[in-house]
Amino acid sequence: MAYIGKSIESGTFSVLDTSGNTYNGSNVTFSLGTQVGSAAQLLVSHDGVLQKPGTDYTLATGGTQITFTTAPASGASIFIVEISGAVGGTITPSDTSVTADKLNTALLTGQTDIGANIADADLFLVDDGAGGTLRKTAASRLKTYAGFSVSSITGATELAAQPAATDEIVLSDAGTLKRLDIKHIQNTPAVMTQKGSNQTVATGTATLITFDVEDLDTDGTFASNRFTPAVAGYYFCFGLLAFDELSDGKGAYSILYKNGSHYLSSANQVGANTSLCVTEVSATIYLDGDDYVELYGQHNHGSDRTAIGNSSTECFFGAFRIAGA
Amino acid sequence: MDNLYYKVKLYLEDNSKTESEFDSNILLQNDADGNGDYIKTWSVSGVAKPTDSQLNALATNATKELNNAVIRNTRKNSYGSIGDQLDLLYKDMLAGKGDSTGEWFKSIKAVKDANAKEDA
Repeated sequence: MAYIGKSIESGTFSVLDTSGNTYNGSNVTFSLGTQVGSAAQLLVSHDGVLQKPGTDYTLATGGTQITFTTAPASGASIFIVEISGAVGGTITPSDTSVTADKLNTALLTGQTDIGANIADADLFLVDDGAGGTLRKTAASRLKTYAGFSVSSITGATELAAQPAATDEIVLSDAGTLKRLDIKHIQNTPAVMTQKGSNQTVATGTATLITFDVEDLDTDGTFASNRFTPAVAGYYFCFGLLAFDELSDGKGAYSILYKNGSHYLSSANQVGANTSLCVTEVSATIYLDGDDYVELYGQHNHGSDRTAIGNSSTECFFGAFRIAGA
Repeated sequence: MDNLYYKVKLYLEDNSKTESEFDSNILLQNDADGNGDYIKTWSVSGVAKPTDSQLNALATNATKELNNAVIRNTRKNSYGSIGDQLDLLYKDMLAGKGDSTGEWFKSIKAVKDANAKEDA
């Protein structure tokens, strides 16, 4: 006869083999021929009368024996049915029946760490087709899917603004993937300054030109009329000086100083009827972490002259790092 | 130090040297730090770097040198262009006034008189 109601999903109903037991009115304990977990797991019939677990019988010897309260008489008719699986037996879930809730996180956390980089041949489980079939895939296949590609760029949100100095990009450094602050490939530190007021310069005297108007100072590296970038590299440095009312044949110099000493200069001489003398200088200079650059001016007019700082033709000084040099 | 250039110039002349030493052997500098002009480098052959007292002893004459330099520049700017002066001379000579009666001479003298140099 088939089951009434839902059929069992695991385990068995089986009649235990008790043929080796001898009932004689004095023996109370008999082998079950298997191991069960509790007395209630057994249906025991004694001469056609169903026995009550815990009252009429108990288990003994770890569930491998049954002990009757009253010793069965000689010739007693006893059969025992085991309900469900035996203790320690293997239960095989039916296909696709194990759900996520049945799994413990220790399934992951309890495993030994791989302790090394993932190799191409290492395997992962994937749901092939999203709700489809669970399949294995090699790490080599994951690389082709999850690796950096053009779509990683085209699919990303556009910054649409000048990146901050600490924004980062990813690049291959001789084959090793690394992140890089964008500032390392920007032309910074950079400064641009102007002279906001006139300055008297004595004849024949190299004089530090002061610059009190900062149009640009990306990293706060211009102070006390000197540019101290604090980042080693090559810098393009430039300056223009305008001296007022130099006599015919007189000249002026723009002089770049590095660490307090003459580095490079440029001269210009005033011709007839041109009293304004403008002289420019520019140079590419290597500066290390504490090197600094200043702009000095000099003329040979014969008496004090003015380095102009309050008109449209006024002195300026600037510098910026040459990225990549 | 005030008027350092001319003090050093006079010091050089006192030691049989010339202003040409400024071309490569002397550097006067001012670091805009409130300490004024000073001698940054000195490598004049056979002449020691002057002391402050030596330079200060030349202050009076150095001031005259400076004032005269200013006067020279004022005169230079007041004379007018070379072209204009040649034009005046040409006209004076045509008029037979190639001497101190000519207009060019008068204009130059007027500038010089108005901007007299100090005696060195």
